Amino acid sequence: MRRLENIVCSFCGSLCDDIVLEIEGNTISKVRGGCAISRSKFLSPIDNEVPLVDGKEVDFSEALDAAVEILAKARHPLIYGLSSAGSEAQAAAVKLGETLGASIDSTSSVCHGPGTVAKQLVGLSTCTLGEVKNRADVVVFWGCNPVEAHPRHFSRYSVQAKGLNTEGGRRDRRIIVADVRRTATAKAADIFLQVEPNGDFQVLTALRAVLSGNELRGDTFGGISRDEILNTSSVLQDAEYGVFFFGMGLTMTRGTHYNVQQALSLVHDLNEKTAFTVIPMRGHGNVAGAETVLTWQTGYPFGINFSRGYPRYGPGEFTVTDLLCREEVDAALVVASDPAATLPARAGEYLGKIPTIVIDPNYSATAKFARVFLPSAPIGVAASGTAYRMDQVPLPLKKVIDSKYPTDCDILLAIDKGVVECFAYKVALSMTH
Amino acid sequence: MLCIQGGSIYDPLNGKAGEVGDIYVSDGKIVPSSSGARVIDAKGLIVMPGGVDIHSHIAGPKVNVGRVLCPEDHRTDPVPRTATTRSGVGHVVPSTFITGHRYARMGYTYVTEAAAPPLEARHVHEELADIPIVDKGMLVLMGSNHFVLSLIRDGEFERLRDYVAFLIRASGGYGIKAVNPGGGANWRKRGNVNSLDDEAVGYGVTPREIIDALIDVNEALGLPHPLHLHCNNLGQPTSGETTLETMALAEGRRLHITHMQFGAYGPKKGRPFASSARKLAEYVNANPNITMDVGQVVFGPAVTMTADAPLQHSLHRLTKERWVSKEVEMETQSGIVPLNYRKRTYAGAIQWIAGLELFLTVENPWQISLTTDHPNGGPFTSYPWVIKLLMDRDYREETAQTVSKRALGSSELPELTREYTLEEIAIITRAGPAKTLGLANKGHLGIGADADIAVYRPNSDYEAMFREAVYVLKGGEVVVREGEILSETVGKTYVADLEEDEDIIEWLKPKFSQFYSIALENYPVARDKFMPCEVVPCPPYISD
Amino acid sequence: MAFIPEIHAILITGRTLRQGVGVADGKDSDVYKKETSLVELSSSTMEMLGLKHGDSVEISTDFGVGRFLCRKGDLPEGIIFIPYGPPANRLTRDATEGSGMPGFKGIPCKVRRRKT
Repeated sequence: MRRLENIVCSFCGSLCDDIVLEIEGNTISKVRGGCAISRSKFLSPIDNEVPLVDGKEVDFSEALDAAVEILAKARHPLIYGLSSAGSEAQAAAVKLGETLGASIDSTSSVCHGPGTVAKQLVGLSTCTLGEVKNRADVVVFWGCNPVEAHPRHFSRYSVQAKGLNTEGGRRDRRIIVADVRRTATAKAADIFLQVEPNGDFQVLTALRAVLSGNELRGDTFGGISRDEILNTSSVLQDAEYGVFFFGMGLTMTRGTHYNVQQALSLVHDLNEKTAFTVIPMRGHGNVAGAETVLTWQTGYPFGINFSRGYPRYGPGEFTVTDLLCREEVDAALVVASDPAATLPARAGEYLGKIPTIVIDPNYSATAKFARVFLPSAPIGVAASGTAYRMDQVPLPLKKVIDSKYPTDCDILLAIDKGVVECFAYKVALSMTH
Repeated sequence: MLCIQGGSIYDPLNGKAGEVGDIYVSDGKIVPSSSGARVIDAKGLIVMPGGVDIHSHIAGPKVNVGRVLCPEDHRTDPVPRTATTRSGVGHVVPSTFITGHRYARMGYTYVTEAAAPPLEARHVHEELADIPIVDKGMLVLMGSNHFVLSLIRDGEFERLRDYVAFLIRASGGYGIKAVNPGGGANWRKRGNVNSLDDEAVGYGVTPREIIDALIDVNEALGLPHPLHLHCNNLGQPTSGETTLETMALAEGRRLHITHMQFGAYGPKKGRPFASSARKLAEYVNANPNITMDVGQVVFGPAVTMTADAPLQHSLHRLTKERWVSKEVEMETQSGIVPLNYRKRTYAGAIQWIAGLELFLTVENPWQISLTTDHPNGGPFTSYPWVIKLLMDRDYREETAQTVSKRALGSSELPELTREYTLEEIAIITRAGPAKTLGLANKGHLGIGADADIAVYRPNSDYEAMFREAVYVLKGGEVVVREGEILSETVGKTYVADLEEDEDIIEWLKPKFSQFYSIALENYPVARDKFMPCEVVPCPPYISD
Repeated sequence: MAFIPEIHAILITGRTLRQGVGVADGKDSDVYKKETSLVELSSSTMEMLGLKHGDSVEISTDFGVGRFLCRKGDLPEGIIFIPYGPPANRLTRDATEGSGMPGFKGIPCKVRRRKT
């Protein structure tokens, strides 16, 4: 039996790095320290899948060839997913996207993409999660539900965590939750703002108005009473070090990036009075990495198109939901993500109408109707790499057991090589005729 | 084997200033002459060592946020892929591949990433690995680090030395960087330190004490490069006085003042904000222990990014521009604000003037390096323009006539008639920075040096001459020809060779788990991940 | 066959812990399938529709229709919640209005009881 400590769990954006694994032979037998999701992730058997073409089991190399053929023939392929892949695989996907002249998008566009657009408009005052643990005495959770989505966020970083100036843990903090629902997170709050659906922009605007010394006219704002607004704004201002976490409750509701822009501007305003920071509550384990890698390689965070040989940026244009619903792409490569289970049905269904290739350790809803399924070694379990936490802190993902399948990075590089050879052959052919 | 034949060689370290000769290259190194070499005809061309950038921001968390922040700028400069090169975007904050291409095209072969937080060092290295062709090194931010400040307060010098060594090793770093020392501690409460004797709240130490201790640590560790310092009060109208005081506190010890231009202001001729470059240059001229780089401002768009977070917040207030700020637990903080330097505005012109005055009044070129503090003062792709301003007095005077008259009137620039020679340019762009960085095999063309070579075509328009090299060799391989990238070779990352010390890890362990949000085991960057790296020896500790 | 009464509501989709466990276990796992075919309704909504825990309801939006089993949730009146998953995706807005982001939250819908 091997015992490994300080292993990173790459399921969600919290990237807890204190997981203890016990390994017997080539199997993880025990998980200590993780949450329920983490236990499921590490204890799920690996290598359960087989390579498939049109639903039939084939050799890995045959499936790889089929993938190369589909992509080399496509006029406008889409590469999508990447948020549960390591940064090395993300880089390989960009390389392939460039070779193909493809559109490339990560799950960012359907989670925190609008937050990134908002950042491009006003900027962002942020900090790492250790600062939250060490200093934060006022913590806001707006439209996010870490108790269910990031189960150990409270204890490791944001609520009970004890650090440099927060020896009292929970006692030293005031917790504000804003949500449409009284979520499990809301139940832990000192102040709960039950916002009307699509009312976030109004509430945030009212808070900004009060902070800048304006008088509020009216009784309620997005479902929040005048008194609650005034009280909340004074708690925010009185913070020694405040932190504002936001989630899909801002990015997915009406106004998308405008909601986030208002939240980021509220935090800018608060910095005139005290120290305040904001952290997007990133969902997938390495969705932050997808934006990070795409940006350093192309200049842009998501929604990128290479058809002109150079990267172009277009949220709403080169983003996955738009490309699929407008039926603009003629082939798709899905990496470590499951759009059929996560996108609106019409977008997901279009993937069944075009040749779709799935690279994933697990057989997914998308894999069910994919032309080609290539099983890969799960990252952070049977493959190593780097992942970026929701606060952009990079962490090493370790390979702790062996998979019979290659990593998604190696598969992507092999596809790229195959496509380059195909293109070279095409050129050679055209010259002989 | 290759021979670069018949070029005019500018190799200041080896005393060559334009003499015609041959350079032989084998296995990536400069070798003695021999027969049977493939010849590159360099007759009528200028041969120099590859350029060395002592201070630039090319990789890592804040650079990348700068990229995210500026899609409108990328859109002006798309770069398509070619058969041999990757695509990307250029201009103010280029993507990684384009960063490598554009440095190489200008004949640069080594670049220093000037500010890395240890907690995010892995990110810096991932980007450095994606910058092709050029070699790189990374400086590690320490000026407001919790443990550094605490150990200085407690007078624990040896432990401080070992902790600094640990940080450099864990980060895969090359040297020590301090930015607005102590300011970060106060920024946690949205304050700052405003003089060398202000206190860092909660630590009871002053910038003076921090700088003093870090210089001593730097020398005790025998690091190849002196302490790399971004002074306190930077950007403020009275910064010149602080920069002078800071240089004085080195008391003969090595010290590198970076982007001095941004700290070279003082009142003059009745104006509260003017250049005090001359005073600083006089100090540098009298004190050979000081080296500096300029941080020249270039007119047009720029993105300011620095660990000097209070400065960035004040810039945001002033310009109402987008503002990114980040605090990294226990270690540092940063701020990012896009900016446009306009020649007609008084402040923009003063900054441009202050940089040129430093270039023209620091007498010994070995003490001064050319930088724009990319992308803070403007993109590194403006270096050829800066060279033209230095070498061509007529052009400089013509350009000066286009900037704010008030600013020009308050300055000494019109009286400065100096023109840089090619030899001096070779010093401030390669030989000097290589020497200051302690890179023994860079910045010269002596036997045994790295075969990093730039060949230029002489041109009376010096900007055109230095914009695109005719040939660039990196590690003996021809990577650029007539400004075209031939091959995206992999550059090495230079790291300082410091010994592993178990005691300091034992000391750190309990504190780390208490105050950090990750495990100590996941903190160091594994060196093998970023191979190939070049380990630069440090002389053994100097014992008392 | 009277599918009454019917109410108008606002649909929110989102993550739950069990849905997260389901994702980690696999999309074919029972926990995932079960969790993603549930709808949470407030107790007053359940009363109005004459529903008890586990009853089946039909939910329709401008974008699609689906059947869900109901459970009681701590929700304000007029708001219903469905965990992320393929059944919820039949109901969400697929137009992104130029933002890249579809409408996963705040979608007007109708809820009606199905005969059991």
